Amino acid sequence: MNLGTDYVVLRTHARIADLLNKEQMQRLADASDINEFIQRLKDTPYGEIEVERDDKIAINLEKIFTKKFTERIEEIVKITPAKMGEFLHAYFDFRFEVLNLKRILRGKFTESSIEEIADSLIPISYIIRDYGALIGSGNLEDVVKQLGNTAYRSLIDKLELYKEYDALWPLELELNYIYARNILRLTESLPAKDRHIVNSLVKYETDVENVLIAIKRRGKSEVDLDEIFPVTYGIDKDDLKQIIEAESLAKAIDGLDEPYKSVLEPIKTGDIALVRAMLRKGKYDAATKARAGNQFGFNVILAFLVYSEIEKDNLVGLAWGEVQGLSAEHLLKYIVIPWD
Amino acid sequence: MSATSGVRPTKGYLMETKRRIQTVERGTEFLKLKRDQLAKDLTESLDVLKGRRGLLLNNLQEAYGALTAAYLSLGPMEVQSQTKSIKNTLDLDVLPRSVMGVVYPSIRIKERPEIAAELDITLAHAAEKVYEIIEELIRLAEFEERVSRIAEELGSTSRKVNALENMVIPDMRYIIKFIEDKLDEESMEELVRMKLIGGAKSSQK
Repeated sequence: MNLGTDYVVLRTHARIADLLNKEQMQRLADASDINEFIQRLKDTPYGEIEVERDDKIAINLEKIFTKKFTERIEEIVKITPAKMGEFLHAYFDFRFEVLNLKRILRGKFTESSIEEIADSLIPISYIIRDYGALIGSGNLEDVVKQLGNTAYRSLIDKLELYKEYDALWPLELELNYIYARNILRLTESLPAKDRHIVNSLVKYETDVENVLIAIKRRGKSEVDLDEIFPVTYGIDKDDLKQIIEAESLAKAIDGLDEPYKSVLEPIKTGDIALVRAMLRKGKYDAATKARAGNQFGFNVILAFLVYSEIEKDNLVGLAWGEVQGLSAEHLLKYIVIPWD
Repeated sequence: MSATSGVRPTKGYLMETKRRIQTVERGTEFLKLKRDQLAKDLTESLDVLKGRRGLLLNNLQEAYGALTAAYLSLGPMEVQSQTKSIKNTLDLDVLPRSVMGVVYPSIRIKERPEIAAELDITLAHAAEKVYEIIEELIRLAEFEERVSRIAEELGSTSRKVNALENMVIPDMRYIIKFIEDKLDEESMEELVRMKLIGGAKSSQK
């Protein structure tokens, strides 16, 4: 371990203590309305936040929580030794850039205004230096063509499918694939001992997403598995085919190995949204396990960022639920709160 | 104004009135049949409506629950972005339809919304739930309007039957009796007159 990593790990340990704990989350969820939620947020490391209290308050708060999260990434990446920092920058920023590209493509697909598309973006970029040129493009095809000189060039090949189906999903699936492929390639730059946690997180997420895509394809005829699932890891194409074609989805899920079986368990009861919470919990558990294995390495840094992302998602969900006047019980059902 | 004002006490008018009262009575019977049928239809429809509303409410709650869960899982910005990928809006045709003289709107779905993106499973599930109830919601709205129009028509038919039974037919019967009395009176007068004339002629002889 070099001195640089030691320093970051120590800083990260201190940062982990700043993350909201179970009691703080519970207190926020128990707030009677959004004003009380903001008031209670004051007593947390988030402190006093200034937010426009109009009819878009949930979105305004989402932007604040996302900003806080991106600041955390930047702070960590800045002080992390080069290769590790590069990887973390890619792992998080690349993902948000992919999300932004999907939002731009959706905006162009429905001919939304430039302002509307720009407003929907997360202020993070990885490869794209300026989203302005993409947003300003005349149509969706121009956006894809502009990406021709970047890591997203394979999107151009998917334009045919996009035209054939008049649907965005070929482009969105390709973006998922580009992200997974590049992240796994980037893990090669990490020391062998640090690769495991990243590989397991990326592969776990990709596998679960593949299953979810397969569930959505149930009942549809002629599913091109190679087209829909360009990458598979723990769950291969035969398993995915089984999920698509099986008469009983519950039986098909039972046929999967752990941890997939447990993550997908809520589908059996029809509570689809709980799968997302289980997926996050799975990531949380994997990061916690990796952190427990080595308290003085890269795992701690990655775990902190994974926790931060989960915290951001939790706060976004809580804020929206408070605006809607949902009960704490209802709110906490779909939110992953640190268990310890 | 009396029922007999403007009445001409002639045989022709009597025949015409008798013919009219027959038509009115037959019409009243038809209206009574229509009223009874509408009442039966309304009672049955109200039971169906209650059941369908209950079912729809359940399905709406399920759809709302799924949508809420999607918002909690993905956050409002992502939900809004993903929902942008819905290609077509719901396009409806509203056409008039008539049953037993009751005109009500019949709705035909011309175009349904179509999802073009790879929605997150939570949102796809919510969309599926909403999609399932769209037609149900439209059919229920159509049915509610039909029931409301039947109720209106029933009210109007009942009022017509009451008016015919309690006002028009009794008035017409009264007119007939009035004309018959008048005509009887006139024929008696005529008879007396004839007898008087006949008596006068025979005394002259």
